[in-house]
Parts: sequence; structure tokens; C-alpha cells
Amino acid sequence: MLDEILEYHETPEDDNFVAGVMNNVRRQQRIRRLILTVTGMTGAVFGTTGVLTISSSISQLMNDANMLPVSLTLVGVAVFLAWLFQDEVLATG
Amino acid sequence: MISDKELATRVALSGDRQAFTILVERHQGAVRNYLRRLLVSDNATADDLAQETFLAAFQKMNSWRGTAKLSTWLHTIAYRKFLDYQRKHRRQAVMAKIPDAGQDNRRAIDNEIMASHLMGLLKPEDRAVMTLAYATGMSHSEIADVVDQPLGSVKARIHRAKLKLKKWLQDNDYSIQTQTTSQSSQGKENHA
Repeated sequence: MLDEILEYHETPEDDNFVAGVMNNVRRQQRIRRLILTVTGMTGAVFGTTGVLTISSSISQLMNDANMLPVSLTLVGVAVFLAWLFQDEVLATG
Repeated sequence: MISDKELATRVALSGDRQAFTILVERHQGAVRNYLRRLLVSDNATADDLAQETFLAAFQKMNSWRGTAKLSTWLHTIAYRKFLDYQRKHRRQAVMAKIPDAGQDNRRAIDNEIMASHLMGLLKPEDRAVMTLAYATGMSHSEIADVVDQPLGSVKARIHRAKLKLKKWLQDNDYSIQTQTTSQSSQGKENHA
């Protein structure tokens, strides 16, 4: 008897429900896109600001009469890379 | 007919809304019925939770492993939504009442109303397992997956709930009432 009572006696199926779900899905996708756009734009703004700040200080440094610190830094980086590369060659060889 | 797995893959890979629409059309009846039983015929809330269930399914389609049936997975989400809802609305006691149909009480006691009433007699966890066992035809191990409980606990729950409902039906002489109803309707037919 329980089987008969507890089985589903109706099947609630209608297009309005499906439309409601799909509206929610669309809204949720729109919100996600909005968040991604805002986050991306914020990142781009901060990134650009950072690049501009660094580029101005670099150009200022380059315009200075004394190029010694820049030259030393570049040589230091080159030596470090050469050492790193040599180490890798030795390790693989 | 395109399989659930194929449709779910399309949704997971590219957010295919058409594929998801087919899945919603296919499974809305089962999910909505299940939540209606859990909420003891609070159909509006049940449908709201069903909407949330499908939205969550769309968002988490990647996490469906495909080893279980999609319907089992959807029932799992629905059950969690129900538990969340219940936690938030703990103070509201859910108890179905048999509608007052005047003197002709027998007409009101059709199977759906009786099912709602019986659900109201059970604890929410028991409602879940009994509905899954009797209405969806899931196996005990599938039910254990849905409610996230050991198989033994599920079997014990179903056994206890079944005894409780049978006792209520016996105490309230349900079989006699239905017989009387069918006899009276037969009588009416004979008169006609």
C-alpha cells in the first residue's frame, strides 16, 4: 500500500519553470562576465600605471649624464645570466 | 535521443545553454517532485529550490563525474539545497494537514494528500530516503550517495520509517476508508 501512496502522482513539468532556470543561468553568466571585465580592467589600469612609473624612472636614468649605475646593472644581469646558462650546460652535459 | 552524459559534457566544456535546457526539461519533474515531498507540499518553495538546484548544476557541471546517473547527482544537489533551506528556517515546523473537505472527508484523502501527510509525520532525513526509495525507484546504494550516509544507516532509516508509516495507516484505518470510498464510487456507477 505504501508503494501506491508514496509514488509520484503528478509530474510537474512546464515551460515557465525551464524559462525561469535559463533566465537565472543567463543572469549568472552576465554577472560573471561583468566581474571578469571589471577585474581585468582594474588589473590593466594598475599594470599600465606600474609600467608608466617604471618607464619614466628608466628614461630619467638614461637621460642622466652618469650612465655608470645603468651599465653596472646591465653587466651584472648579463654575468648572472651567463653563469646561470653555464651551470645549466654543465648540469645537462 | 542525446544522452545526459553528452549534454552534460557540452555544458561543462562550453556552457552550452541549449544542451542545458534539454537537461532541465528532462529532469525538472523528478527534482521538483522530490523537493515537494521533502517540503511537504510547499510547492512554491520547492520550485524555488529546484531553480537553485539547476543553477548550481549548471555552475558545477564539471564536477559531475559521470560514474553516477545525472539524476542521482541532481537529487544530491537538491537534497543539500533542502538541508540549507531547513537550517535557515529551522523554527518553522513543517507539518502537513489534511485539507478540510467538509463532511466528505474521504474525497480529500486521495493518495497525493495522504503522501504529503505521511511525509509530515517523518523527520526530514527519513522523508528524503523514503521518497527516493518509493517514488524514484533508486537503489539503496544510490540513496546512500544522495544523502551522503552509510548504506547500513539508509537501510535502517527506511525500515524504521516504513514501520512508522504502516503503523499510522493501521491506526487510522486507512485501508478501510479507501475500501469504503471505492465501494461508494462503485455504488454511484451502478446507480448511473
